[in-house]
Amino acid sequence: MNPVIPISRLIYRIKGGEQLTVHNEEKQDLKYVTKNREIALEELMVLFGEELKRLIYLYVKDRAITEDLVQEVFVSIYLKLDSYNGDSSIKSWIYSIAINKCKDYLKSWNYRKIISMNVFSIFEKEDGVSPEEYTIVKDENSLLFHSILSLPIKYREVLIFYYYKDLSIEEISKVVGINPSTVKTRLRRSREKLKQLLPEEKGREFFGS
Amino acid sequence: MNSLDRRLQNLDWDEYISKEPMFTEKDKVRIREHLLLRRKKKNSFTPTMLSFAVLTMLFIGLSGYTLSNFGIITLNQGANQVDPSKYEKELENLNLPLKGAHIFDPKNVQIDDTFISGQLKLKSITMLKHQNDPKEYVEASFIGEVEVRGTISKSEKKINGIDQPYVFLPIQNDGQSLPKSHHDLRTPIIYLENQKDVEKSLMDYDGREVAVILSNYKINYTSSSSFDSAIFVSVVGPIKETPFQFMDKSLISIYDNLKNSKDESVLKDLSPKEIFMLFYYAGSIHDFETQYLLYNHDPNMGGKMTLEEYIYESNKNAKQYFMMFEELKQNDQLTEVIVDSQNAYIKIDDEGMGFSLTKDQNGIWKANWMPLQ
Repeated sequence: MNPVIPISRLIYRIKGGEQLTVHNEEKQDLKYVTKNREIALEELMVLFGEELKRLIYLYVKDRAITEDLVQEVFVSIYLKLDSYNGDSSIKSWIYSIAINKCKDYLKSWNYRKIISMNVFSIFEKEDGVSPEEYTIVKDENSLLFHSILSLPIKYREVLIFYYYKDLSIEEISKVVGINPSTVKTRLRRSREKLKQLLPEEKGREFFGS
Repeated sequence: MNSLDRRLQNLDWDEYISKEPMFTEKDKVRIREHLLLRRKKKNSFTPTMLSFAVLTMLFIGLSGYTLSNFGIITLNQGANQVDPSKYEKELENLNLPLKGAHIFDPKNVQIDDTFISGQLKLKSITMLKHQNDPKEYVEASFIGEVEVRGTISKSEKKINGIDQPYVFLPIQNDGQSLPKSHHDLRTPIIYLENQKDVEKSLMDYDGREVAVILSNYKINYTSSSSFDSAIFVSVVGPIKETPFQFMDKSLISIYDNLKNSKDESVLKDLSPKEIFMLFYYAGSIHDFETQYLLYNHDPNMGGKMTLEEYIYESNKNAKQYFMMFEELKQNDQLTEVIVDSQNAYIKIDDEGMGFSLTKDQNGIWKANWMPLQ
């Protein structure tokens, strides 16, 4: 069946975040998208490829692993497209797939092996930043960014979605699969942990700013 | 709002993740290749007489053709490891399978599937096998009338017993591209079946680019020299719109020249659409200094910025430029509209989005400040 509106227009709207759920008149479009998986995959790669790869990097902090995971995420999207029923926005659905892949990796034996190797060198951080590069980490924002990356994943991910992806507490709750009050708690704790890591924030706290 | 909260809200994450686009064509190829291998592996668990025969050939030492040449990968992955680089090379060399809204996979397409916004509906399809040829040849017929743009021309070949019959040569990569199989690399030639009845109309438009209505479209993809057919219904009118081809070699050469010399006179003979393409190309590679040269800097133009301000502001939206360029490359609605000798715009969609340009005092088309409206 032909979509009610062109697929490219539908995807534009999905990307724009205007459409959080698929309305009745667009059920046909959804059917079209899920049926024509190759076309949908191509469009989704254009729309979400860059965004997903950056998101994955924030989870795994390793560019080579990011390369592999983004590939796995899109293969999963392709294979699961039939199961997407429009109950959530396609963006949230894709985020959830990416998060699960990243967490699977972070729990994996491979990742733990890499971490255990890295503890032998204080400079060999997980994102591959060299000692020389660390000396370049001179401005406060860079320090803030690297401090976020150093947080445990459960604190890091709420910061990513709240401050980087601009999701609401409710949206984070759905995407990450935790209840909204836990999201709030983790946000508060993650900020507290960041303050401990940032000398200038400790100073500001002291002077009441 | 406390200080840390404010800093987190203002943090430019993308600058620290990567200043360059991360998701590239290479990623796309890897994903497609991954799926291709996966499909082939899946097929391998249904052994057929053919795959058995091919495996036997391998065992007795016949070489020259690999399984991938036949489009078949077999079962014993341990013994016959698929070489991903080979597939990557094959994809790059042949650019197959083709991708796009009008491309179909003959194995998955179904009767009554529609193409070109529902104007054509698949009526029948037959897959044809050619020995030792990995391409999937097809014959398919469609119901419905469709408006297509292209040229009415006389063929040099004899078709259906007619010397120099009229054929229709559709514009390739057009927004209204006719459906085609994902292995079909032929230059489309459509034989007009009813040409004897409509000879007068065809003669009037011989050699001209026109939009025509065709019906009963049939794909006859049996070899590189085969031709498709359709019934000619009418001519809608001459073509006014020009579909865009982003960044061919000559345009890249002009871009490089501009970038290196900063001499705007290299833009002198370019059309509004070419300036538009250069503008987004510059954005996609984050070359905002060159992009700045593509704006109209005449004294009477409003909303101008200094180069430093422009680079600073543009870097904040660098990622969006890359995404936009990728989208524009696939936008089949782009149209150049020349309003008058001084004003033009590029129509981006049917909802009124456009990119405006004016000629500067040197007679060069330039982007207006805040061009996208």
